[in-house]
Amino acid sequence: MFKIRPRQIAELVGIMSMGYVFTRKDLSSEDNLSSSIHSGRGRSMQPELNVTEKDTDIIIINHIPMQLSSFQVPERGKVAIIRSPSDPHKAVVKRIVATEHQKIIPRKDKLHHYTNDDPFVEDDPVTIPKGYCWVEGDNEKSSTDSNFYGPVPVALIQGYAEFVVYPRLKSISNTIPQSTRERIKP
Amino acid sequence: MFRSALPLLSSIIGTASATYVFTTLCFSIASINGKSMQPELNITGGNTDIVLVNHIPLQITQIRVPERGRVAVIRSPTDPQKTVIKRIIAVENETIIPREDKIYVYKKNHVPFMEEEPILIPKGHCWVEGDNAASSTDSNSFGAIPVALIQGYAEYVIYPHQRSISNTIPKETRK
Repeated sequence: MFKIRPRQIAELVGIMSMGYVFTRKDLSSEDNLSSSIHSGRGRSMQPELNVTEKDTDIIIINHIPMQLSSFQVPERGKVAIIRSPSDPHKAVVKRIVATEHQKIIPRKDKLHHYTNDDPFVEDDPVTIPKGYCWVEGDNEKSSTDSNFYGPVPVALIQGYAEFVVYPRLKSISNTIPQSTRERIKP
Repeated sequence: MFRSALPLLSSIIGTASATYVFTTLCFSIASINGKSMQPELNITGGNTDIVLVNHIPLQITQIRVPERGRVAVIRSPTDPQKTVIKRIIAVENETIIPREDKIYVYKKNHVPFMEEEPILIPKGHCWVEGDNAASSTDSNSFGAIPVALIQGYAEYVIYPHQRSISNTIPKETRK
């Protein structure tokens, strides 16, 4: 049969590594936490993504801004893929609506349960600490986001979702919904 | 001329990529600055110790709750460019009382946290502390952190004295 020479193994390892570096697709990781091509289930980003329940949009993730040492504060309005604060092996796709030192009023119909005692009273603005950001799904009615788990460390952001490639090619908008902007000061 | 450079170029890129994968997913080496982990690390006070960091346990998706007592390398929640090294003291659904002389200012509206109250660690989070109670910026100041911030476990010191890093929580930690 085949004589497998060390050189071929080295080439195979090299090719797989290059593939990993470019696409960040782990063989073992659930939900492909850092992959450059992502397919996410759920309605939390409707109507931007997954417009109908049957379609699961495939999106392209850009990891490059996070590699730069100048990355301190993420861009507001961008949709990002983030390691979930409640499950280290899951990735969530949400929009960055507020960054450090801003104040935001959580959504009215959500109770904010990230501390162990009083449920969060929804009219108090939350000041986002340094190094953190506030993420929300565009779909108010169906999203588990910062309204549930509070501000998220910027270090959990893995990449920006730039394009949808399936079912149709479109770029993902970078605007914060108007109703959300009204809850943020300054 | 470019044609003959291509095999060399692809070898270089392939080797660099394989090295990147190895140091990100398997093992890497880190040098430790500061005294927050004394006496475990940097016992002489300088920035001397070099440790071996093991990233493999993080790739196993069945493990969602980190092991208590392990020393972990984590990305700082207050500065995305920094990594810190601390010990994991408590995990999700446990309660812990912060250290007495630290004020934990994590809650909304900057209400300082009274140090007698136990904190319940939320799902997916953990509480980390430096072994050196006198000099450490850790969960006592930035609160419980998401487990997703953990990058790897420091298992072994390779310089200046080879030894393995202990997995025990210091006795006076409050549960």
